[in-house]
Formats: sequence, C-alpha cells, structure tokens
Amino acid sequence: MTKYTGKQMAFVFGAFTIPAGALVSVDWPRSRDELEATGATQDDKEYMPSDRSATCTINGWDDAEGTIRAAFEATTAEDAGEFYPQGNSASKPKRAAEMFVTNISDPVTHNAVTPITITLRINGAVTHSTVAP
Amino acid sequence: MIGNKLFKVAPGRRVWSNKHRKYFEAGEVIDLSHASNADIAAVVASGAIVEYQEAKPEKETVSPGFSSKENQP
Repeated sequence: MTKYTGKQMAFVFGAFTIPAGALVSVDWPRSRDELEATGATQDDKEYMPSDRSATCTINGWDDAEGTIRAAFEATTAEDAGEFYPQGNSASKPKRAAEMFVTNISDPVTHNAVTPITITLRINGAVTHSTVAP
Repeated sequence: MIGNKLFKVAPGRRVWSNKHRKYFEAGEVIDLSHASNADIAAVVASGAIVEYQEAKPEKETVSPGFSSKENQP
C-alpha cells in the first residue's frame, strides 16, 4: 500500500482549470441512503440500502482577478467536473461527474490571504477511471 | 520492453485518454503510439491496460502435391 499527498491534485470544472497554487483541498464525500425495514418481533434493526448521492467541497485561495469566483458563481450552469487527486498524469486516478454550484464563500480578512470555498452537488453517476497519455 | 503500442482496457477498469479526450471501457482497444514508454509502463503497472496482440492471419498452406526436397530424386 502506497500513501500519497494531495500536492499534485487538480480540479477542472467545465473549461476552467483551478489555477496551479490556488487549490488547497477537495473533499468529495459520497453517501448512500438507508431505508429502515424493522418490523414486529425483530430486536435488531434491519435496513435496506437505497440511492446514492454526493457533494464536492473545494477549498482554495481566491485570485485578485476574480476568475475562480467567475467560474463558480452560484448561478453557473451545471457542467462536468473532473478531479485528479494525484494529478493529471499517466496511471493516476480520475473522478468525474456532472455537478452544479450550491454555495460559494470567499470571506475577506484584512490581515489574511483570502480563501474561497465552493460547494457543488453531484448530479448523477460518478465516473472512475485511470489516466492514460 | 514494451514494443506493441496497442493495448486493451482490463476487465472492470476504465481509462481516460488525454490524447483522445474520451473514455475507453473494459475490453476496448486503445492506441498509445503517441505515448512514451515510461507513461505506458506506468499505466500497465496500474493494471488498467494490458498489451494487445492483433490476431495474425493463418499462414497459407502448401497446396497438395507439392514435392518436398526429400521426395526429389
């Protein structure tokens, strides 16, 4: 088993690639709904697996030119998101899905670098693949 | 050393090609002639692709009645 860091990670949303040095973290949690099916005489709860859902949260440094905010406005249309947790290079994993922005936040503080946080809703299936040149 | 540049996507895997700008599904043949041996080796090592050999046509059989050297006087 080989551990890895996110030093080379990359995120693309539609035609926009988050600039090198601006991406700080990406979290792409996936959930599955559960349906309780417990009935009379059962002492242990019973569940049935149900539908899947996912969101994606991007943390980064905002840019003075406003290009990142412009690409991820709350009104931006749904588009294809591509996440390369180990970078876009041969043999590395890739995750992709259609997604739309549900929240964007970029609080400005007088003595701190301005961060930006974008939350997206994954719409539909997540496609897992391996990058080839 | 990898000499053949045609590969098949391994069962249960999917490959994204930056060159072709498309996904290749399990069982599909992908042409990586444009790629370096190092990059190809890395993808092979990941288990996502395996070398693919095109089926070679069968050799033409000698027509019956041809005399071999052993049969020559």
